[in-house]
Amino acid sequence: MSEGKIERIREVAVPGERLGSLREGAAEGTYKEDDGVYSSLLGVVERESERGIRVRALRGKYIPRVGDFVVGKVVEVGLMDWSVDINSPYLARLDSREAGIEVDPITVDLRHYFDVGDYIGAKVTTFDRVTPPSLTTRERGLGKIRGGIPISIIPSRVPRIIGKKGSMISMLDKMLKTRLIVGQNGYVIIQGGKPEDVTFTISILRKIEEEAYTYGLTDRIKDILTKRYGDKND
Amino acid sequence: MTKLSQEALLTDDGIRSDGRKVDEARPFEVEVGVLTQADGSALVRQGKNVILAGVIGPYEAERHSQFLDRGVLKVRYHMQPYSTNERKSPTYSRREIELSRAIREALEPAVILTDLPRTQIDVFVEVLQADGGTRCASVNAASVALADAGVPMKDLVTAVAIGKVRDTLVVDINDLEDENGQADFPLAMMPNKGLITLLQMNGLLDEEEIKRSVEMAKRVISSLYQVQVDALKKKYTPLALSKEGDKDA
Amino acid sequence: MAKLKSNERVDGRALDAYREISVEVGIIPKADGSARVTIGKTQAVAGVKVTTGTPYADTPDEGVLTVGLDLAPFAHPDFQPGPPDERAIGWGRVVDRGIREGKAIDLGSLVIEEGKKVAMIWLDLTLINHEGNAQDAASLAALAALASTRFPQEVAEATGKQSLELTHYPVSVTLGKIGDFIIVDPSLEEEDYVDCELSITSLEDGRISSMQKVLPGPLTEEEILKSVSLSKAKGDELRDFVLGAVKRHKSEES
Repeated sequence: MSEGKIERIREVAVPGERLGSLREGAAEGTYKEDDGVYSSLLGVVERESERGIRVRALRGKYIPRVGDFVVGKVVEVGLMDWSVDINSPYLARLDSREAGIEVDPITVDLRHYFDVGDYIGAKVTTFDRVTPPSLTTRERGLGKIRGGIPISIIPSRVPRIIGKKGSMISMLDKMLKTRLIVGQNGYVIIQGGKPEDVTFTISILRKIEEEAYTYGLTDRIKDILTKRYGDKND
Repeated sequence: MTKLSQEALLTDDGIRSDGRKVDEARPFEVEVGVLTQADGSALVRQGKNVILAGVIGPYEAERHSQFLDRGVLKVRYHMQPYSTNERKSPTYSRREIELSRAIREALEPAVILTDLPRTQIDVFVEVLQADGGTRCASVNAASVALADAGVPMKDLVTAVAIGKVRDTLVVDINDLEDENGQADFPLAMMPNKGLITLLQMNGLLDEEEIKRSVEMAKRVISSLYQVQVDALKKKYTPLALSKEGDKDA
Repeated sequence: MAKLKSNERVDGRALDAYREISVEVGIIPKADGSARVTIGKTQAVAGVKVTTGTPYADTPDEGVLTVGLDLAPFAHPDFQPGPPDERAIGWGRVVDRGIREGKAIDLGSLVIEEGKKVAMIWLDLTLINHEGNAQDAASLAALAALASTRFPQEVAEATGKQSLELTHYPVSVTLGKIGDFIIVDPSLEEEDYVDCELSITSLEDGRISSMQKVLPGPLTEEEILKSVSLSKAKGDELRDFVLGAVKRHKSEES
C-alpha cells in the first residue's frame, strides 16, 4: 500500500508573482499593489485562512513571532541579560528577571544559570523589528536544556514536524526511541536513545524537512518508523 | 591589439561571430541552491559566462552600519584570475568596485529592505568565466540567490546587454562584441513590474535605437525570466517516486 | 568519540574512507587548464593560465610557477572578502610545495630564451564551498587542471610544446587526529574536534614531497609513520581517479 506515492507539491510562488485580487486578502509573505496581492517570497502558497493569501518561505531564517516556543543557544552573557541565538537575523535577549532571577547583578554571575553554549527553551515575549526579540524562561517547561544533540531545521518546515493538530509530532514521540524538543525557530534537540537511534531520528527529521510540502508525508513516515521499530499502536 | 572590423562581427546574412542571429540570446542556464554554507545561491551560465552568486544573511548588521528602519544590501563582484582571456590579477580592481555598485543598485529596488530593519544582506558574486555581459549575468544569478535565501522581494531582477555591431542592434552581446562593437547597453528589469533598475550605455546610439534596444531587451528578459522561475520552482519540487495511487492525506 | 570507538564516524564512514569525490576536467574552457573537484560537499576549482614572461633573476634557466588560493566569501560564513588569510595561504602553499618540491613540472624545460623569456604557469585555486578538507580538494583540482593544461598558441610556438607535461603527480591526503584515532578526509564537523591535522603530499613513485601539520595537538612517531603509509595508499587511489578523469577528458577533446 505504501508503494504508490505521487509526490505532488503544493502551489509554489516566486517573488513578484500575482497570487490573487485584493479582495482575497494579503497575509504573510505577500505584498499589495493596486491591482492585486503579490508574493514576496519563494515559497508555498496557502489560501486556506480567512486572513488572506499567505506564502511560507521555502528557506530562510526564523522571523520571531510573539508567543512562539523557541530553542535558543546562549552566545553572550552580560551583567543583567543573555544574548541568545534563535536562528533569526536578530539576536534575542533574555533579561535576568525574565529568567526568574531577582538578584544584584554585581554579586551574581549569570554564567551560573546559563553559560555560553547552553541551549534553552524559551518563549518570545516581544518583537517589533526595531527592538531585539525578547525571551522569557519563566513558564513551566522552559529553561536550560540539559544534554542532547542539537540540529537545525529550516524554520518554515517546522509546522510539518508538528503536523495538523500535532499529528506528526505525537507519532514521532510515540515511535522514535529519542525525545524531541522542537523550537518553532527550527532548532531541535534530540535527547536519549543509542547513537544509531539518534542517527535514525536525524534522518527522519531531514526527510520531513525535505518533503514538507508534499502530500501523504505522514503515512510515508509512519511506514518507515513501523519498518524500523515495529508497530507501536498495540 | 587592433579592433576587429565591424564586418567581422556581422555577416551580410545577419550572422554574428558566434553563429547567432541579431535577436538571438545566448544559451542560459540557472541552477539554484548549489552551495551549502551560503543562505542562498545560484550558478548561472549565460553563453560562456559561468557565474556563482552566494547570499549570506539577513543578519544583524554592526551598530555603525545598520539602519533602524531598513536592511542594507551589500554586493561584492569579483572575478577569478582564470576567468578572462588574459589572466586577471587577484587584487580587487576599480572596475570590480564599479560593477559591485551597479549590481547592487540593480537589485536594491526589488528587495523589500523595510521588512528587515537593522540587518545586512551580503551578496557575493564570483565570476569563474567571463564572456561579455558579466554584470547582467551577475544580476541574474544574484536575484535568484536572494530568492533562494528567503529574502523578501517585490520581483526577481533579470538583465541582458544590448549591443550594436555594424550599425545593427544585437541582443546579449558576447566578449568580442563587447570589446569591438559600437555600443554596449546593459539593462536590468523587474520583469513583472516593467521597471528598469540598471541602465548604462557606452557607445553611440540615437533615440530610435535606444527605444528599439529597450524593446529587444524586454523580449529577451521575458524569456530569461522564465528560466529563472523554472529553476527556483524546480529546485524544491521533490522527484516523483511513482505514479500509482495517490496517498493524499 | 563514542562512535569512533566502534570504528564508525558520525556520517557512517570508516576511519580511512573518503567522502564521495567527483572530478570535472575543463570546467573553465577559456583557461588553459581547469578542473572542479568535490569531496563530499566541499568544492574547489582550479584554473591554469600560461603566459610568457621574464624569469626570476636568481633562476634565469627556469620557467615560473605561481600558485594562489582564494576563499570565496560564500564558501563559509567565516570567510571574509579580501586578500588571502592565513588559511588560504597555508592551503595554497601546501599545494605549491607539493608540486615544486616534487618537481612535478620540469621548470627547466619551460625556458624560451635563457635569462630573458620563459613560460609562466599561473595556477589559481578557488574554494567555492567549505565542508571540510579544503586542502585535498584544492590539491586534486590543481593536479587535474595541470595535467590537462594545453599551451595557448603564443606559448606553444615559443616553446615548441602543445601542452604541459607533468613529470610527477602529487596528491595530498589530509588526516586528522581525534584522541587516539586517525581519520582520513575530516568533514567540517570533524575538523572542530581534531587535535591536529596532517596533510601529506605523495608522488606516484611513493616519495613524499610535502608534509604539513596544523593545530597544536602533538603526534607520536608511530602515528606519523602510520599516516605516511596511509596517505601513500589513499594517494594512489585518488591519483588514479583524477588521472583517469583527465585521460577521458583528453580523449573526448580529440
